[in-house]
Amino acid sequence: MDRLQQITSIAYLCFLRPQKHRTPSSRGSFPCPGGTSVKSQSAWTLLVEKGLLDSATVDAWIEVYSDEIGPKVGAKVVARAWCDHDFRKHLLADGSAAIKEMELSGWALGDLKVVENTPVVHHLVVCTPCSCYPHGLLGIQPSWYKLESYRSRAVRDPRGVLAEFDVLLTDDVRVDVWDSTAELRYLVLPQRPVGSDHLDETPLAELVTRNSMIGTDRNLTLKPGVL
Amino acid sequence: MDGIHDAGGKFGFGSIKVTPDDPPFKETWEGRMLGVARAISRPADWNSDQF
Repeated sequence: MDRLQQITSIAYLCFLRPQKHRTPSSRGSFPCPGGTSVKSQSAWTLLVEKGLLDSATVDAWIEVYSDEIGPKVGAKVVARAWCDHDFRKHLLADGSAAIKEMELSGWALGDLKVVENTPVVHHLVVCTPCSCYPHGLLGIQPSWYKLESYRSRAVRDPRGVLAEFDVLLTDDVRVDVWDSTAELRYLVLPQRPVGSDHLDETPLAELVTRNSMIGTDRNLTLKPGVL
Repeated sequence: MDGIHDAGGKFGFGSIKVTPDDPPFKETWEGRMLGVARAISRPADWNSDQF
């Protein structure tokens, strides 16, 4: 049995195999006492015991996604675009290529399109089928990004969705909604905060919120945002 | 794409539960599973269809 077969067997055993006590309320997967926590622990233990997985590698990935990869990476890109006209042009023309030039450590990204907010256009990003997201720039998705309530209404009633995030748009502002796919992700380039002309890239990056790069925040201010 | 996962435009899901300060992993198993998925697929010697 090769490595892939062993791994898929363990995945089947822990997550897909019908359990004796399946409940009618189960939705899409088979429950077991202890739920997903026990299933994932079983998978992890089997993979380590069979030598298919190095537990230190798992810990390293968890640490990277907890501490290093997150909205601060995207905020650096936004701040650079605000300060460097040529970079901004390149970023809007070919997001992936422009970001590669920044040589950010530890990021991984497929195709990326960057869309720019203006006084008369607001951009909102969603993934209606699941939760596609530019992880390399923004980290792990917020819970609400994965909810059906967000995914269903972002394309049908974007102004109503934005109002729930306290973003109230006047009728003269057009809303463009971008539906992500596994191949193409989106990043919103928010407008530079009013009165921030004296700041350079590092303090500017502190003003950029995660939600402003998804489109559920709009008017950034000089008060540092919580990333 | 039109299927059970495509929520776009559907009705009946209610309001959005906005959580401003989500940690990257709310439960231990979330981080563990992401770490396992990343660790077993690097270097990538198969694709998701094969899996």
